[in-house]
Amino acid sequence: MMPPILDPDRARHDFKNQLAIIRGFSEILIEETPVGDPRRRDLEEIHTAAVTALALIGRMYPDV
Amino acid sequence: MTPETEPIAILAVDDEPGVLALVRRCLDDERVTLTEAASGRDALAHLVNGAALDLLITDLRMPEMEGDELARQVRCQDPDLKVLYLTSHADRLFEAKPLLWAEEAYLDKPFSREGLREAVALLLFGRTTL
Repeated sequence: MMPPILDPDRARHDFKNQLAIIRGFSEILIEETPVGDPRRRDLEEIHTAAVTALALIGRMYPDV
Repeated sequence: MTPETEPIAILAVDDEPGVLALVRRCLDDERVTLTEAASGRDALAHLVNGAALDLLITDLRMPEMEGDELARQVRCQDPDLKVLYLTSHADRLFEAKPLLWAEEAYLDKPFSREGLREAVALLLFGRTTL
């Protein structure tokens, strides 16, 4: 089992990194998926969830 | 060779493989030769081989060696090298470096494909497109 991350600054950084990857790739895939393709809506859901989670991080760690 | 056709050699450094994969995807361009390193030490080892470089893109916060220290060491060999810091914590960058050099810039994570390409183009060519 991996050790817990006790440093809030590190936790914020690592968590934000992962969400940045999800947001970045989903954004690229949305751009490359034609309007009307049913997969586009799924990708937009992934993208919206990543953006929402990034905003949550800011609220979870307001002082770091 | 015009600036529009000139090859671009970039070294990207991040301890998170997914971020490197995203950088690779964003800079997917036949003119760009992208070398990746997972740490500051890996990056320095690559440069020891004498590879010519136009731009260093580096995460700021990495274990063992942070991005600003990597840039400082690389500049000992190549004082004019351009550096783009990727950071999710711009405050930390300015704590470490109150002033950025003329050849330096930073880009907040999360970044978009357009944002990264624009930052690279501005640093290398002074324009907004690669």
